[in-house]
Amino acid sequence: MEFHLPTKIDDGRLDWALELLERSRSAGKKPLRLNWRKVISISPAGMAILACLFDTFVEQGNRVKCTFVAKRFKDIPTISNMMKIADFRALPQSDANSFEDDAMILRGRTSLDPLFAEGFREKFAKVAGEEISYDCSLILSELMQNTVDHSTAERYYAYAGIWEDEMHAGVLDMGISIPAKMAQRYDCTSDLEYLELALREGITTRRRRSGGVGLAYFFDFLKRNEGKLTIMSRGAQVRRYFKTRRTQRGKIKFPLRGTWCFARFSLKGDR
Amino acid sequence: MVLRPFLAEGGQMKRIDIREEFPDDRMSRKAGERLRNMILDALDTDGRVEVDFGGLIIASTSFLDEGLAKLADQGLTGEHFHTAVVFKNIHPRDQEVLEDLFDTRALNSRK
Repeated sequence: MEFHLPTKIDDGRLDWALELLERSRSAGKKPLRLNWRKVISISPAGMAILACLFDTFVEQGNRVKCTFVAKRFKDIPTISNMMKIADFRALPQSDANSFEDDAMILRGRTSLDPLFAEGFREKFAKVAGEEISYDCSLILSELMQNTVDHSTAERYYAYAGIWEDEMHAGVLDMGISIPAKMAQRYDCTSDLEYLELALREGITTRRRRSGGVGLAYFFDFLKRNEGKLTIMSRGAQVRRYFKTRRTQRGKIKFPLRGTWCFARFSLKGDR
Repeated sequence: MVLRPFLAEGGQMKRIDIREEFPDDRMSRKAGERLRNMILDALDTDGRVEVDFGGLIIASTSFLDEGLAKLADQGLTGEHFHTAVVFKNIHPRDQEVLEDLFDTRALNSRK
């Protein structure tokens, strides 16, 4: 089963990644051949997506063969791990896919990590500015908090980085999805409805320490910085473009067993 | 909990050092809840408390909301909050977020 990876591995079109996750579950003993020939760039979000794919391949016991991997990608932990996936009989330490270079940080974590936001500020405050760094830390802590509280995933990936004049940040987990969690407290007719409800300010599934305030800051910030937010979980996705106030919403072709949340915003006004 | 009004200028004031008390978690609601309880205890005994952020950047609505803004849900008025809880070395953006969260909580608790 050969699978051609896209030219750009990022948070744009994600059907390929979701399909690959699905194929991973149905592959059984058949090897998954990942053809990297077309891949030119991997964004910070792309690194986190690859880390989730790697974890799923390991969990599913897939035989994965990577072909035509460009030399410059071979030192990236997730990719080098994927290339020797037969060595992993169980998920390695959460940090095994962590990566950092001049433009990005990716961390695999099992619990809240206040140092991630501090490291992020140290790294990007000069380029992105103090204000934007603070706001981005606020977003990341909010997302990490939600993941740790709600998904109960064994691990999550937090990433941040500068990519094509934009700041990208997000958190990905393969745990309990938003619709599954929301269904414990609310009654909606579809995954999309659950997702949209979760994005409403003041909505929370916490029974103690009720919250639901972080989202207001998150949205304010994205509005101020012409941001874009993509959230996908189980069978639905919502993409909000704060510059144009446009929202795309719909079902996704292949279900995501977890929640991926990607934020990006312009740095043009803050440099 | 009934809070004693702030009485004496220059009286004993308990100090909570965020860096010392919350070395690993200054993000979560759980940590925020602990901070709020520490503040309530201090207010109960001394009527006033100093919270020293030591120049740290918190940047967590969860911690600030649970730890401080929720004091509004427990009967602290804005005026009482500002005189009885003294912030030291707090980052201006944290202060801004906190004020905003407190005002929202205070407004909602009056409804």
